[in-house]
Amino acid sequence: MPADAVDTVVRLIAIELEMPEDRVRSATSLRGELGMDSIAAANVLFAIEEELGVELVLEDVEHLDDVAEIARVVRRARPTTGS
Amino acid sequence: MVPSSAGGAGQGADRVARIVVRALDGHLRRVAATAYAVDAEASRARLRALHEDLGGRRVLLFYWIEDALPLMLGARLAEDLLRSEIAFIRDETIGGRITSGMLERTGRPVRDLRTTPAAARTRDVQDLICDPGWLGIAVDGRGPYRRVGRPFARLAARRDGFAIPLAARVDRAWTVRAGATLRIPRRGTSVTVRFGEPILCRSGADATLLQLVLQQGLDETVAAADRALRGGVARAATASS
Repeated sequence: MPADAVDTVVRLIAIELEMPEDRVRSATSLRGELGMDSIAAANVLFAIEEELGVELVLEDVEHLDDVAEIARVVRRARPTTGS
Repeated sequence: MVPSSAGGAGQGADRVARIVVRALDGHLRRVAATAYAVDAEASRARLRALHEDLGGRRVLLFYWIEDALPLMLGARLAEDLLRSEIAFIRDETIGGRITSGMLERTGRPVRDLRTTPAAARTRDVQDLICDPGWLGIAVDGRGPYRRVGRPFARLAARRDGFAIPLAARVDRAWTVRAGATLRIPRRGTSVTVRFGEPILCRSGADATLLQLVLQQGLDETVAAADRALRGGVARAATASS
């Protein structure tokens, strides 16, 4: 899995929320500070899956509210199969 | 069942919703025996035409939560008015639990939209975006009422399909505010169901603009349904006098 998962996540969140990467990187709560709602989160996950060719597994994830948590999800993603 | 991710509170709300659903189901059955459907055949024909035009496209039928129970009354009076291939979105609000519970009793499919945990909600949103079929959703169940929210506009755009305003109006109802504004049809009511003009929601559309268009579409559809209801009631009164 990519070592620069954090960079990828930050970049894609910044694109989705239309704000500078620095602001995303320094946020401790994507929802509380940056207003990332479930639609934006879904869009970010779609973008990650499409860009990296992986399938994210969210079963044991709860908050999905900071970059580090999303990066952890990315690191343990499984490659997309059948395409 | 609504997923019990909210723990004890969620299970308690489930129990309350099940009790209310049973009571309302019996009530609507009794109301249906005395209710009058205005323009039911026109509504059926309109839905058939929409299906012929948009059958293969992603469609969101959207309505106010206050129209949910009148919609079920309309469907009870005209069995094929809500076609079985329309899946209704069930969120964890009390209004969502009640209305989806009643729809489930009629054998119609539902799709979950959990509130928590956040990751589960995100995955549910992804499933709704990818769902290729027709979905029905009350857009103001969490308030503010009678307002189309920006998240709904963004969901509609992300699905890259059509949104169709839907109104179901009754002239005799109790209004109950219990976590949501619900209108409970009363005996002897008239009911009409109206489908508005399909609104193309393209991926990448300006969400603010689309939000306004969706709001206007639903406002106009509700106003047209109210006019049709008044006209239908007046015609029925004239015919019976």
